[in-house]
Amino acid sequence: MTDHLLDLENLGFERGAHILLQQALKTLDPGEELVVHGTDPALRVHVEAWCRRSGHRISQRLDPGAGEPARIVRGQADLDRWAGAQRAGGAAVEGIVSSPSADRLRTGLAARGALVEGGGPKTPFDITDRDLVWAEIAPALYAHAASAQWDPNTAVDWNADFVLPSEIEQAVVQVMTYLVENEQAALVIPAKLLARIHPHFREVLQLLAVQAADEARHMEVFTRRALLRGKEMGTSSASGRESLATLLTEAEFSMASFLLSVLGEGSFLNLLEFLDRHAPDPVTRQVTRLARRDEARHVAFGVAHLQHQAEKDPSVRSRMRAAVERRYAALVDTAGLNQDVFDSLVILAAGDWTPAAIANGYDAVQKLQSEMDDGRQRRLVHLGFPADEAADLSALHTRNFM
Amino acid sequence: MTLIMGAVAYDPKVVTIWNGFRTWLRDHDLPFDYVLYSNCERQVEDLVAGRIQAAWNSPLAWIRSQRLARSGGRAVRPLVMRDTDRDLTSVIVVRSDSAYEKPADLKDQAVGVGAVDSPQGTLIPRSFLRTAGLTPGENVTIRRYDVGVGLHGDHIGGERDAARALIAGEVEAVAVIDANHLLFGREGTFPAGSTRIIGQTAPYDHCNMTVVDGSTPELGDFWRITAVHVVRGRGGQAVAGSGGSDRLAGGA
Repeated sequence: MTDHLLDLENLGFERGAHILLQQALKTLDPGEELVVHGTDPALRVHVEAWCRRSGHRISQRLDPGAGEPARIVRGQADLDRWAGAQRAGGAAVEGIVSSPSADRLRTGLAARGALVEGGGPKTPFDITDRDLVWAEIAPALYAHAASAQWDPNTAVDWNADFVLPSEIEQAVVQVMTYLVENEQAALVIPAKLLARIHPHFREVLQLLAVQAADEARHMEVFTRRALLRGKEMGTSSASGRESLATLLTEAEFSMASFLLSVLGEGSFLNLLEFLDRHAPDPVTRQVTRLARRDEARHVAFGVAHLQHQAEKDPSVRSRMRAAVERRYAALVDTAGLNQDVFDSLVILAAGDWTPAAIANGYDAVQKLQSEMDDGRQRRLVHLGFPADEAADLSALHTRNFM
Repeated sequence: MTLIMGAVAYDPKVVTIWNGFRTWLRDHDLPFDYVLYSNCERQVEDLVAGRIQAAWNSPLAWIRSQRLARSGGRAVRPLVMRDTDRDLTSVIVVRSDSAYEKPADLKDQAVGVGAVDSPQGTLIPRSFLRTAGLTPGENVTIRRYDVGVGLHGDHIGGERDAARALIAGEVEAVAVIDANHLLFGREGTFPAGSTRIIGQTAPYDHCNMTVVDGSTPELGDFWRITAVHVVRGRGGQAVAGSGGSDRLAGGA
């Protein structure tokens, strides 16, 4: 049998000798011997202490000063340590498993596809079922979202030259105030959910994280537009906040996603389109247009996710129905949309301070509400609800739009 | 029946360690629980009195258990120990630029050691120096770095303080366990190349899990066989076969 040899020259354990030693031992089978030469004076003492810790043996004790090589018998502690390890699924989307925390392995924060040593800590993720969080479109949506990020500072021409009559400016400020409030809810909800989802579903976390980042930018641009010409924000009604609070308390991922993204943000798409159309100034137009692009993605994920769910489990539809009814019951005694917001929308659509213009504006807002209703019904039908049930459910949606 | 073992809480990590063992052993159908002691002495008393069935004993506590048990007409035995606790040595270390070549050269000099009750950091090195003709208090000054007294050397703070004192020139040599010489070199307490080893003790063993004969022999045997089987079979390096502590018993 030929000896396996390693010459460490003057390299000691104080400067990384273990790396070469480890590499040399890796190529041996347990029980095989490695002969280690070296001139570092502490080498023999250190080889022995290191081997003891690492599960290898010294075949014979040596006089530390004798200059003889150390003979190491390869142990198998390093192999044993990984004996029960398992891959946390596969790195690619095809490698996603249905329930990553089902066994005792506790893959937790391990990267998907990593070789996971057993015995890890418990993690707080309670949404661990593929069918509850996954949608095939998530990776593509995330990629699109990541590439579509815009810089609030440069994407909007904040120095655009315009002056609005004070009543119109006031209406813009009021609508922006309302939008900020809603965007804050839309940030908190995915942020709360993503902290509960098992990181195995990496793409969903990424998508929700970007969604939260989208809302962060929306909060910024709407606030900046509100304060562009004045110093004060508009009003916030108790009923509006009541409506948003019911979204925050929805514990189930799918139902929160349904109420927020499919119904709420879905309605917001119409609102933002309306504001784009009736914006009295270029800055208002730009901020609503940018936000609308992002919101469309949020709605797309919500719909795809719920569609996936409903295909897997038809009872999801009855839970959706119950969620809408529950929220309706919780809000039935509240005023719904802040009157100041409603009036501001009319003023923006009117564009002028004459009775005829106001009447036109009022009609436009009525039309907006009808478009929102159509959109909701369309998405509900897409999720498999019969048309009449979709109409019923849409009618129960909060009057606060979101 | 659950095997209840005593362990000394020398560091907060002790809870992590034994909780981990507890969970893992119970997952493998080995009923196990532990109680924590603030010092080894009370743990040994409770072991011999039968209030616990086993104790994770330091070398000194193992000797103490033997003596206490013998005086009560009983006997203790080691059930299991870690392979990493076998064949330890302590080394006598000097600064590279000093003239000392062997332990006897330290005559009339100051040698830093660990805590008063540390076998590896103090007691065994003192005995080693005697064999080299150095008698503490007569022809060599022993300077103790007492950190974590009562923990029988499980706290390495004393050895680290002694190591720093060597580099600072406060003592001419220090005694540390071989693995700590490796550790101090890697972490930078001993800058690379700053020290030389001029002596090494004979190998000795460290902690074991001690049981009292007659208390729960069947449970103990069952536990040992199963634990070793489980560890060998499932991976891990925590527990090895029993025995190996006689050298320490004989040498102390």
